[in-house]
Amino acid sequence: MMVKAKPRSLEIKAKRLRREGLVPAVIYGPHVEPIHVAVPEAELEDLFRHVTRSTIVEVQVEGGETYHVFLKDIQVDPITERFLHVDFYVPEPGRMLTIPVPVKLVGTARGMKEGGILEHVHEYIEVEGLPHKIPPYFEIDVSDLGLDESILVGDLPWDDELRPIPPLDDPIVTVLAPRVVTIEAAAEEEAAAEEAAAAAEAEEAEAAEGEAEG
Amino acid sequence: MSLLFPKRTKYRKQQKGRIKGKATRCTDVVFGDYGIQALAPAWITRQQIEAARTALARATHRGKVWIRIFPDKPITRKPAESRMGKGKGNVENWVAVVKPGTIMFEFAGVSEQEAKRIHKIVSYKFPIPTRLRRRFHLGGER
Repeated sequence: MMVKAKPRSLEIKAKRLRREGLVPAVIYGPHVEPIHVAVPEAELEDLFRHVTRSTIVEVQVEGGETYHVFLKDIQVDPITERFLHVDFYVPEPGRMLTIPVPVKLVGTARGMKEGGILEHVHEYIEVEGLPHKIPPYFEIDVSDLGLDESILVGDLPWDDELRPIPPLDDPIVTVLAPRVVTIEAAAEEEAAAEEAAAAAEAEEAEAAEGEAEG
Repeated sequence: MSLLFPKRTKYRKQQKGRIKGKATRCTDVVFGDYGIQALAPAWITRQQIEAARTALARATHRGKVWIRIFPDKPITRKPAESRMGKGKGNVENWVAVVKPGTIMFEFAGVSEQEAKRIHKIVSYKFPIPTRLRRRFHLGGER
């Protein structure tokens, strides 16, 4: 994905830019001096419809360089829901960075057809890796997942250039067995225990009465 | 759940104050899938919070509910037919100060259509107009 940005002077207030349909933004990174730019709002909306936070986006600055960036921060007006400001982060090629990668689930789990509930534990997985190795998202096929089965962080392909931050035995997605069965069983057990207790009490009472009479 | 109020406060009574501007905190849906957002400034009483919570809990069935506001402001009132003076009245209620944009409640575990229906039911419990907000996701993340 690519967006075109115009360099902007800090003397022009952000409010004026927004009135003109532009969103103020900044491009920065460990080896890049901050560059203040303005991006057309429509172009930004279109971009946000297709990317994730771990997608590398090309930002072409008018009359300047093209940067490969990650979306670091997006400020949205809470009431109008219009974009206020965007931070583009230029990663250093050989340097590891930590970033959340979204997880997309594909298919319908076998366990769901058996009455289970699909729990998506990690919607994002925090990863540490080299910029070119970071995927836009992880796609996980859950169609083979039965009741009480999980897909763990360790099940995804990792290497030295891309490592997960959460432990490898953390579940990403799991199919929980319906709890109705256990509740019924527990209720039956409770009822049996209550009956036994009531019978014991009645016996004790009878014995006590017999003693009193005697 | 009984009505909310702070366990301990530094001062017993507060001045009235004015609600100015828009919210800058608590403006994003961060826990659930949907949020109920205030569109006007108001004091939300603990009774209103409880009414909304009950309505949400009933409507979402097995869904999960988060309360993002807390009534930490004491409201005082003088007894009826008392003369002016003789100091500030007694604490009568507790309210949460809400600015436009505040996400007051969040919930999860329901479909979008269901969420709209739930919002309509819960919106009657507030003295201000509210709006249903979805959690912000980039397009590629859904």
